[in-house]
Formats: sequence, C-alpha cells, structure tokens
Amino acid sequence: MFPDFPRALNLFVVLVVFGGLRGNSLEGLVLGTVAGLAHDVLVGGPYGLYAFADTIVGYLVARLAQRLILDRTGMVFVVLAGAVVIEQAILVVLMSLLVADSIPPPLTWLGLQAILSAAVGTGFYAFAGSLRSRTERRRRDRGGRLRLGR
Amino acid sequence: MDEQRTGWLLLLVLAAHLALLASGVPSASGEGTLLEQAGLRVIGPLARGTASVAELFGTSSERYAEREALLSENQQLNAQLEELRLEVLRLYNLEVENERLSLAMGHLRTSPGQLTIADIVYMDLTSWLSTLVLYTGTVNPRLNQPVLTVDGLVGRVVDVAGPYARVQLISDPTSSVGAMIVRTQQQGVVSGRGLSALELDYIPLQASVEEGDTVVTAGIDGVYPQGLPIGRVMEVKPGDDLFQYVRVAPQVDLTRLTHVYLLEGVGLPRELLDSGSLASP
Repeated sequence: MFPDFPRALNLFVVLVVFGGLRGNSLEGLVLGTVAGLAHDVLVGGPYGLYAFADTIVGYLVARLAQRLILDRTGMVFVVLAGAVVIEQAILVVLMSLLVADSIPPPLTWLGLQAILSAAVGTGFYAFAGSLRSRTERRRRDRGGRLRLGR
Repeated sequence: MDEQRTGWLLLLVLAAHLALLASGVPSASGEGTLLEQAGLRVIGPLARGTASVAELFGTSSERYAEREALLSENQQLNAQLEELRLEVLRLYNLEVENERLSLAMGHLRTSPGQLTIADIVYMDLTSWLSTLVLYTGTVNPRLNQPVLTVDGLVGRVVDVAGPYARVQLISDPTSSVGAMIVRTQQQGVVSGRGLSALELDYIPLQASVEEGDTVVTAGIDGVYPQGLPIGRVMEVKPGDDLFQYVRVAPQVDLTRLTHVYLLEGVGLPRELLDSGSLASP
C-alpha cells in the first residue's frame, strides 16, 4: 500500500522532537547534533547536512516546549509535522547554496513524510504515555497494599 | 546552562556543522572542496602580505652587507652567465640538428612548454605533508601543473583558488613521479621520503643502477614531461624479493626555495586523466 513507507518515515526527526519536548534547549541541541550526524553517516552524503538541520530543529522544539504546554497528543502531532517540514526546508536551502544542480523534493513527498512521521511519532508518544501511567498506577496500588498490610 | 549561553553554543555548533559540510562538498569548479577554496582565498593574501613584510626587512638588512663580498659575487655570476650563454648556444645548435633529423625520420616532436614565474607566499615543510602556496599574479594556475626551478623538479599543483595554488612537493610521502635513470633508461616511480631523500621504486634486482646516476622524469605519468631533473642516486642495495632499494637525493634544495616556475603546455588533457583509462599519480 505504501511502497515508500520506510523512506517516508523520518525517525531521526521523531527522536529529536521527543528529546526537545522535555524543554531543555541544551538537550535538544545535543540530541539534534547527534541524531543529525548519525543520519549523515547512514545517508553517506555530505557530513554536516542533516546535523545542521536537526540541531536547529532540536533547539527550536525545546524552546517551544519551554513556552507552551505540548504534552497533548494533538500538539505533539503538529510539532512533529512542523519539525519535518522545517528540517526539509533547511536541507533544501543548504543544498541549493552548496550544490549547483540540486533538485528539491516535490511538495507532495514532503507532505507525505510530514504526516507519516507525525502519525507514527504521535502513536509512539501516546503508547509511551499510557505505559508510563499504567506503571505509575501499579506502583501506587502496590504502595497502598503494603500500608494496609502493616 | 542559561539560555543565552545555550544560544551561543547553538551558533558555535552550527558553524562547526557548516565547516564540516564545506570540507566535504566539492566546489563548483571541481578543483578542491569549498573549504579548501575558501581557505586558500583567505590565507593566500595574508601569507603574501606576511611574505612582503618579511622581504622588506630582509632587503633593509642587506644594505648593511659587505660591499666587497657583493662585488666578488657579481664577478662570479657574470662569469657563470657567460658560460651559460655559450651552453645555450651549443644546445640551440643541437636542437636545430635534432629538429632536422626528426623531420627527416618523420618523427613528430613535442614542443617545449612555457614557463611562468610564481612567488612562494607560504611554505610548510615540517608537517607530514610538505606543501607550498604560490602566487602567480595574472596567470591562473591549473591542477597538476608541473612546478620546477632552474635546477629541477619541485612538485605539482594540487589545489587552485584564483591566482593562488597549493603545490605538493616531490618530497611529500604521497607524491609519485614517473622517473627514469638517464644512463640505462630504466623506468621506475619516485616517491617522497622527506626533504633530503627520495626513493626510486620498482627497479628490478637485475637492473643496473649505480651511485651517482642521474634520475629524470620519464614522461609516462601524464603530468610531467620527459627529461626534468629529479635527483641523483645516493644509495643502492637489494630490497625485497623482486626490486632494489634505491635512494635518491633531490636535485633541488627544497628548503631554500624563493620562487619557482610553472610549466605550461604539457601533460595530458584533464578529461583523459579523469576517464579512468589512465593511471595518474
């Protein structure tokens, strides 16, 4: 159904956004750099390209998380989609400045990547959130049973 | 860390990413990377300015040198000039005869290249890679252009930015020059082993090589024309199973260079070298 699904999914941006949502701009910056460099190594293209873009994305998301409440699922979806768009925009600008005959990707491809990455990332975020709340509830129940047992 | 410092750190990291990117992306002209081009364009004028200031001080101190020593040197140089003029005349007559004989045999001779003088604005002989940076003025150098002095071969141009060129010396460990022993016409490859020694590789055990033999360029590598002096054989001994170990002293004193010449009009076209059908040094 989606023959280009693996290519359309940008897991690196998802990872960077998750790190940035914690609200620490230094963490966002560092995670963006590390994820971007890893992406560059996998792609085998000019080193520094994805690192540059993902560093900016990580920092911006962290700064945004400091000003707004971003823990709702809908907000996470919007932030993820926006992060993918910003990353691709930075890459297009860099490639047009550095490489003479670079061709930007089509807008439909960009839209597909943004929606798919945001959907998968939001799914992970929601799943992780429910797992966390289940663990919290279990710990609270266990603590209550112990007190009654005394 | 407060936000202001994080902001500065962000700018620093982004600058580092851009430098990393520029070091990997080739320039639009295809000659070196963006970082190398930018570096050469920035460092070239600075190095030229520094060399000019140093030359100014050197010139001032020469005014206080002894007058007698200068006069004596002048006389010696005039005598040498006279000998060289006679040598040029003799070589001219030989060239004319060579031309005549070549025409008679129907042999097509290659024309000698033109020389362009270039100033050395920066020299790094201490690092592992021995390099020079040259300034050629109005004539733009080209990649793989041979660089030489009146004594012999110095190296080749490996990076170009406008009138500035970076030269790989023959003493550079990564340099390779197609070479030939004049006495026996035995061909090999000269590699750099430091400023005062070169190594002539791929000389078979049964080949005749003696200390004092002259080594010149063989003209087989598509970069250097035939006949440019490289050096003299210093040491010969058996190497591994197949080849001899031959050490060569460079003809040119690479530590005393002040200006060099770029050789025009020789070498294979770039397209032929890039096609992969020929090996280039």
